[in-house]
Amino acid sequence: MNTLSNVLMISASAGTGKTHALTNVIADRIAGGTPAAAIMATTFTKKAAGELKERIALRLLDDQGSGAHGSGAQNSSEQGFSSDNSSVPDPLKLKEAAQQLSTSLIGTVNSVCSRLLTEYAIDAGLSPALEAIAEGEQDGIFRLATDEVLADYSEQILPIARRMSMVEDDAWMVLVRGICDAARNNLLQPQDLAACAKRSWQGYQSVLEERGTYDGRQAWLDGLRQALPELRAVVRDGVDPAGRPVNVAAKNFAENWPKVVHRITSMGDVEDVSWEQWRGAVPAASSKLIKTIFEQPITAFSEELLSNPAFHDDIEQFIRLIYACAAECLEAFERFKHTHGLMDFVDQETLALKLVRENEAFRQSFSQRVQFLVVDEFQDTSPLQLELFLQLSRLVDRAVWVGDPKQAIYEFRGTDPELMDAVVSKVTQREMLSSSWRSEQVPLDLSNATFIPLFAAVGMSRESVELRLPDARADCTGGFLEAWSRTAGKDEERLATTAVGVADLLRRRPELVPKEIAVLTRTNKEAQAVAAALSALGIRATLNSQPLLSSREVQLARASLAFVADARDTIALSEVVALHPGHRAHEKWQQALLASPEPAETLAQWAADPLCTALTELNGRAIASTPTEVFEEVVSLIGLPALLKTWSAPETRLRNLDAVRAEFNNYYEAAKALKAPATLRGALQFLSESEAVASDNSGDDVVNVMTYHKAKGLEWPVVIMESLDREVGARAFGVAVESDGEFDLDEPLAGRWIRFWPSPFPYKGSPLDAAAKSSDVLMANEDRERRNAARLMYVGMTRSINTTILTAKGSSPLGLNDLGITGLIKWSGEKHDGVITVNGNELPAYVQTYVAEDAPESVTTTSSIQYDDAAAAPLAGSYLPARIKASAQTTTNGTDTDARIYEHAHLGDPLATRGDERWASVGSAVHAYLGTEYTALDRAGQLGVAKEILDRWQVGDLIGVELLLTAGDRFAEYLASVYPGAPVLREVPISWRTGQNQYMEGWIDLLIELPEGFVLIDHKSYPGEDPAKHIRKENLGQMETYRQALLDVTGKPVVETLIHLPALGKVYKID
Amino acid sequence: MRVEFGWFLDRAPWSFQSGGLNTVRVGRLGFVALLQTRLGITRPEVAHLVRVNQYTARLRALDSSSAWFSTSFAVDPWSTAQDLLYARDDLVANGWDGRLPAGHPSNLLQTLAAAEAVELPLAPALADDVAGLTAALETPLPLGISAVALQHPRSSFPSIWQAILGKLEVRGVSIVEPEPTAAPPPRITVLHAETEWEAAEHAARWLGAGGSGNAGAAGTAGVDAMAASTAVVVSHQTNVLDHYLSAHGLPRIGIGARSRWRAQDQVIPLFMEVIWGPANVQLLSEFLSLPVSPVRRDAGRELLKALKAEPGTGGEAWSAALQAIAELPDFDREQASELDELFSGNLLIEHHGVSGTQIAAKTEWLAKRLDRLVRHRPGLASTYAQLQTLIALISGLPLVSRTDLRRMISSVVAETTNPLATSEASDWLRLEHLTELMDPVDDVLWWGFQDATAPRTRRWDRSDIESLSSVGVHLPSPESLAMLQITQTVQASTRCRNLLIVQTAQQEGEPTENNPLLEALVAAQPATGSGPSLRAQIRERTVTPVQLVQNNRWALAGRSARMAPVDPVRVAPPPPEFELEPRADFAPDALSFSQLGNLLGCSLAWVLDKKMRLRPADADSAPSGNTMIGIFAHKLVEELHHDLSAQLRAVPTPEEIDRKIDKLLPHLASELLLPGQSARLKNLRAVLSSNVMKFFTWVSAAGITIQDVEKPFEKFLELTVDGKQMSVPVRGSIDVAGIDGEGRPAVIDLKWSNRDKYRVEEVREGKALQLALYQWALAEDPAGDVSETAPAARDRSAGGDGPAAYYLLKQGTFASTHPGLGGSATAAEGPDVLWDTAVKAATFSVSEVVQGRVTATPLVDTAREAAGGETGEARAIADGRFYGKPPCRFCRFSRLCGLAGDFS
Ligand code: SF4
Repeated sequence: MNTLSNVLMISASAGTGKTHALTNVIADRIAGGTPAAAIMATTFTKKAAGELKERIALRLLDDQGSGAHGSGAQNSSEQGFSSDNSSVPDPLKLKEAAQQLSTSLIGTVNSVCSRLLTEYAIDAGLSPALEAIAEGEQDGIFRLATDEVLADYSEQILPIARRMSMVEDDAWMVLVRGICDAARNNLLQPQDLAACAKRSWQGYQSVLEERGTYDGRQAWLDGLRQALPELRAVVRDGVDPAGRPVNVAAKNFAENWPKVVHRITSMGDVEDVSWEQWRGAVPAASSKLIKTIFEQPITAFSEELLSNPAFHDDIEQFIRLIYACAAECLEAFERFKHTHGLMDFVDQETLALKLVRENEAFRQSFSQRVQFLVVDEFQDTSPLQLELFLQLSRLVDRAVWVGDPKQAIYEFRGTDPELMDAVVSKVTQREMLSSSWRSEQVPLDLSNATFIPLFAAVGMSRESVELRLPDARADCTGGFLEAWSRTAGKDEERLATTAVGVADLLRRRPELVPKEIAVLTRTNKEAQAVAAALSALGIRATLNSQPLLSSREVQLARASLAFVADARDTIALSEVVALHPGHRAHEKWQQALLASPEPAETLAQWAADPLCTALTELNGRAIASTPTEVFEEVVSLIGLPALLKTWSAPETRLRNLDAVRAEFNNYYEAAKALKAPATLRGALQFLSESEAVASDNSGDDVVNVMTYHKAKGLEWPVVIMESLDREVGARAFGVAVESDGEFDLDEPLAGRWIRFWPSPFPYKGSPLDAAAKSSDVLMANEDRERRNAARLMYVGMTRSINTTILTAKGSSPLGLNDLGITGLIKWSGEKHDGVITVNGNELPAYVQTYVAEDAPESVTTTSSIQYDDAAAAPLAGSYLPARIKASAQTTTNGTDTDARIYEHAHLGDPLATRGDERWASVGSAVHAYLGTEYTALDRAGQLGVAKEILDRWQVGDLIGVELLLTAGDRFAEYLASVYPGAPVLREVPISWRTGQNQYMEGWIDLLIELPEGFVLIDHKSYPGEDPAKHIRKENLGQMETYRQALLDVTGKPVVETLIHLPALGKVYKID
Repeated sequence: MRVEFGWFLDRAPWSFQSGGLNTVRVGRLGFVALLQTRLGITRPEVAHLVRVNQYTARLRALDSSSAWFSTSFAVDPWSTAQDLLYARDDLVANGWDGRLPAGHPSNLLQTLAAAEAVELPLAPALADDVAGLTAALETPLPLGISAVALQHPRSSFPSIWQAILGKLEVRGVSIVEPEPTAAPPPRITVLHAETEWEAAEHAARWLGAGGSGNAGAAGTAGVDAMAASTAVVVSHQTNVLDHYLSAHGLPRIGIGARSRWRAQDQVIPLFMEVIWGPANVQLLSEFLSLPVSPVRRDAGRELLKALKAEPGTGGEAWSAALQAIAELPDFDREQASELDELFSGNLLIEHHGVSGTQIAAKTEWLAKRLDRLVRHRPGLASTYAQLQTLIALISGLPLVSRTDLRRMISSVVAETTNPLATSEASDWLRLEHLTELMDPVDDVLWWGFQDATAPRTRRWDRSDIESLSSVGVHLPSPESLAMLQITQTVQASTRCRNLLIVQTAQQEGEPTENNPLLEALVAAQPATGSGPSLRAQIRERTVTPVQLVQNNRWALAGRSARMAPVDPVRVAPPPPEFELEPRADFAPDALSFSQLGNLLGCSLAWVLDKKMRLRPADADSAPSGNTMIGIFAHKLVEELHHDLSAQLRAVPTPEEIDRKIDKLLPHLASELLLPGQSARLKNLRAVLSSNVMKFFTWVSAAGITIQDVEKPFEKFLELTVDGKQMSVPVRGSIDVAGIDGEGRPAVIDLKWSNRDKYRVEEVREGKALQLALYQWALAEDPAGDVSETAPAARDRSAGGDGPAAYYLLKQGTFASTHPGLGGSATAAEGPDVLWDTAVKAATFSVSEVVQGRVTATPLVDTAREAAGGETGEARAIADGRFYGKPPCRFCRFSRLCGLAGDFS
């Protein structure tokens, strides 16, 4: 049986309205009668999930409003599939569905997994309180968990690692981590790793020569050392061994000979000499003379390396040990997480998968619950997620996978496009979206011309690549192409020249707003270079490469916070003075400090400034606050938000403050994971070590600068493609996941294994590198890289709405031409007469060569004006607490204490005297009885109620029912005799707002409504000897509050205030 | 009595403007309590904690290896019991009697039924009360309730509540269903702000602007002047908003977040970390520098100083600190040694097995200190109480692991709200969700809208729902509750005329999710001009802060205020040079090598440090990383040498090195003994052992006899400044001082850094100033410390040509011109020449500062270079001065001089 018969794969090429399709697929399904709670949809990011939910709700509500059904606008390709019910749905149902949307399982893979695991925690044998370790903590926790394993292995691994030129002691641990991650993402078990080691070494041997028996290292060393005096002689005498004069001052010679001397003399025991040290003993760039002097050992090394037994041993041992260590680390990591009750994102997926695969109860429950599964960005799922989706898809009625194999660009994060292709090829129901709702015709021409042939080379049909204008956009035939050559030799200069191009573009096309332009680069570093170059020209870029901590507002806030934490921190104090214009000493503070004969006094004066004393004062309150609250308070005390308005880019700066709070949250997360404490000092420390970067800039005047990877899913009118000269640079070495055997849908991850080829030569140029050049692994890697690069370029080139701009050093971008078709793209001509030739197609373009000197004087973009209240802020009012609790009111004014409190009525003998510590419960029981309308019951009824009450309050052993009944009877009699016929209200709620807007809610025990006003009665269970004193102390305030409240609320006064003391059998009166 | 009853009214205020007698507004909690009072069936409240414990006991009675919940229960009994108890209560609250219904009940349902049958106590909770009501309503007790007005239609209540309402009706209570309102929806404005601060600024201004059109009406007169009816709905903490409100002279709302990270709630967890060995220096400094620390501030400061000098406990610096503490006023030796015992001398060691009694004994000190602190800070009483609870929990336990202890602590120390947060009286109606709005108001401001999320309810398997309903237990579906919340929100919105929703795009650096309530609210609006799409409708009602001001007038949702443009200020970098009056007092009192380096490299940094005495915080991080290891390695070599020289030996054995490392670690690098550091320690140990060994071996092989390690020296540097003779003591200590085979003094400086390249270059280029200085210090015969130097050395001129080297401990290599010390380098200049230039440089720098010229030299140099001028180095060379490298990398003043400033 084809298990994927219920799956529809929608391939959505770039800009074809994927989200729209996704929304419709779900909304239609709901409109067709599937309850919202039966929908599960996963997205790649949280933001996408939120957007999806919102769009679905909008669609449903729009439909119910208009009574229309169907997706309306753009494309409706998937409708026929998803609507099981073709009748027009009931508008009310649509509205209800929109309101129920929060019950559907829509979120990122992780959030959905985590929700399932929480709901089915007990089925899964997990703690229901399990939370995933935050992303930022994972490294630290892995290190902590595996520390002892790593320590055990380090003795064996470290010497080899050093010979492998791993300078940092923990470099090899990074490899171990990489293998562990790959294993977990591909469901490999610790015991599977030994086989991976074996296969890795077997493969590696194919690039080595047969293992020899002779270890020539001592001879190499001797050879190098023996030649050294010869070199020294040349330096000393200025003549070569043949007696010819040598220019020892010549640059190459003068630079390299000391290096050679140092490198050789610092070689000690051969076991301590790294393979790279041998290779690089004599720099490759050294003059011929130097090379000749050392020719013998250099040649010996080159010839012997690949058969050197020590080299063989090192590689083999290293591979074996790293895998063995990784296997143990995996186990240690599991153990650690188990004892500490932790799990990470991968665990979430693994555990969810386990549930789906093995837990019948879950499978049943899930298939009862979820009918429709949608997976967005299918091409970006990891192998583990892929297996999860396959399994889940089998449990639901229908599954829709949406994605674009051409946009799979996360291989570096462990996705495997080939695996994906294998799965997708098993899906029989497919739809293709190829109408571009984004770009105009001209940019489409370029991307079609480029990618139809490129993807054809990997077997993709023209139909699956070509983007067309839909009929509704048939008139969008416009658009522009440009090609910029920047001839500068150095990378940074070339990137800087691109900024010049941007400035020129803004000049040439004045209708463009900076935010409509995006510059895309391969690396973050390149993006930063472009952003820096732009800002040097006065053009702001989105990318903010400066560290969060170095932005002025964060410096100021941090310094203030540090000063709160420790007023003796005079550096922090000085920073506050230096950065805050509101400090009295701010102007020329350095001059003032330096000129001060007694600096300590000056510092003390600074600290006495109101700005600083406010901070010092905060220290006293900090004990009750969290670091975040102290931070918020500091921000407010120093008036930072208002200050920011006077500075550049205030919006960005406010976001930076918010980012500080995010850092604090990360700090708490870290503490929480390990149940460690967190403090203000710790938070400051964490902040100072933070590597967070400042927030991105935003606004109309900001040019977007980012990497191709980050550009995914976004679009701009103008897109400038940078880094197009970078050629595919694959290496055979490193960690990679391989798979062999035929793909099996039932076991999609079978046959997967991890290959690890260590590289002892960080700078290439070794005989090993030469040998690896022709290896299958390298070829395969190159192909893989090429395909990756092609997909990434596809993502980049399909971002533009109106204009695509290509850049290169010369007139043909080397990188684009290295994707599989030589000479794919080049350009010629000049300015408006230019032409971009793609695979033989000529496309008119604006062609320009830029040089750094073209930089315009300065481009100033306007930023928005900031405003503040025109009127000075009023003085802070002093306000009373918002709420009054009547029982907590102590006597409010002096007259109360003059109140007369006296015995008013005697109801009978005391029913109880003195209570034990459970007296409060007895009091509650009595109170409970008196709170009912017991008088309406017959004796049996009263008895029943009283018994129940004693039971509930568990005081049957202390008092008997008679007590309650007697207390009730006496009191009832009393009321009847004193206030015959007057309405009696028990447990009366009252709410009241005072003249000063204080608010009170409470229950009055008893009210008697007389024509002239109320009799206010409170029951007190006090059993002691001095009721008057007790009442004075405990109840006066409460009664007074009620009196005022009653008067205020009803306009009727309280004419009598009584305290009923059932235990004592008395009624007291307050006058 | 008249009762208003609705699913979301439990936190709703009973009344707004007028107040009321004998009328009440309740949700189900309040209604249950009310009916219980009327029916005489109140009962003592039982803490949730107690119930979970009781349920845990029931589950334990059911547990077996095959039990469905067994695995979870073993992993986390508390949470498992809590989770199942919630499920049980959910069923009971809907009328379940505890019996297993027929059909195919799930594992969950089977377990709950089994647990119900266990004869162990389980205190009743709200759920049981609800269930009990139907029966209790049979009694003839008058209820005193005339009418129950429902907030939403009777049919929208869960079925058990419909039954209860039915009973009430039978008893004569009139049940009033809400009229379908014809009230028009309010005018909705969505303020979409970027951050909470931005949102707060506009929200506070809006509240301050009072009634519509009444610009800036909020005077100091207080709230009375403001428009009569404004409701503030608060779905997110108001810390930030409150600051803005205060700034506008308005009352604070005072809703704080719950958090476990309040300083006072961290005292116990911190203490419980620092009494265990190995010492955690980082946490100990945090403990000592808490805003209110149980360790007296002055004593804490001494200990912090010690930790800064030697990041460990029990070493020399630590002992010195204890000594100093003993001499503090009101302190004695005993108290000092108490501190030592607690934090160093007598730490708990997990693998020795620690009993609860031992821990409790340790906490006595803390209890005592807290008790005393509570007198001045009543707020700490809760901390003190927590400590008592914890002690009670652990006291009897025979064995307590750190993990267990941490678990216990986290159950004792729960999340709290800020005790200092104050809610101030205002004439606004305060609500936590719009569903609570029952009184008509003019304006509503909804703060923290994005956090007003739908209630999460437990999800039951469909088969369970069906079988339960066959026995009359009808569980409300999550869908119906979600819908109810939305419809009630929309309904409540019609009670106001003007609804301002405040949304932020990000919250604590995280993008916020949209709230589906917005679509529902807008969908209920009459369509306006921008077309039929809901998205357009929302967009039409959304404003961003920049759109609010026009012609200096701010207007938002019917209120306005006068504004003034803010003048932008360009913040310029501070000047790099200062011209003061001549300052004779700026002459150095003394110099060490590093001070000399600073002085030559940047006189501003030197003056700020030495003359202005700017200092970081006491608790500023104790050294870690390479600095810590450097200190450690020095001490290692020093102590080894002392041992060796006592035995007249030159080279230690590997065992000796190892032992010494073990001895010194707790004192100087206790961080390396903490969990998670063993791999690092192992590597370090390997490197140190082999390279320290190498060091002694090589030195000895080079014919150098080590005479002294950390050899202190003092020598006067004679300078002619402004024509005047000045003599500056140069002090310091030479890492390794010895004598070579030819009787020449030898100096070796030990370095620990990741790369050896720079030192090698320095030596090769003849710029090893530190070595030259030591050579100079040893060369001539001053009075004092160096007198025992070999006579041969004394004859030599300054600098001499005795062997000098850096030993790079991490790499195990020497950087030296001396062949015996692997000296491959040939120095461009001899040490004499170098020293001469250094003296010139010192003369120059000293005369600069003495004349009152203080310069951030690196900044001046870069500026000159950027303007096409010569480099600082070229300049120095031209003057024959030694060029002091910019000390910026390790400088603490980079934010003050402007180097690390942000002048954008
Ligand atoms: S950072 Fe550099 S320039 Fe600034 S004070 Fe320190 S040493 Fe001088």
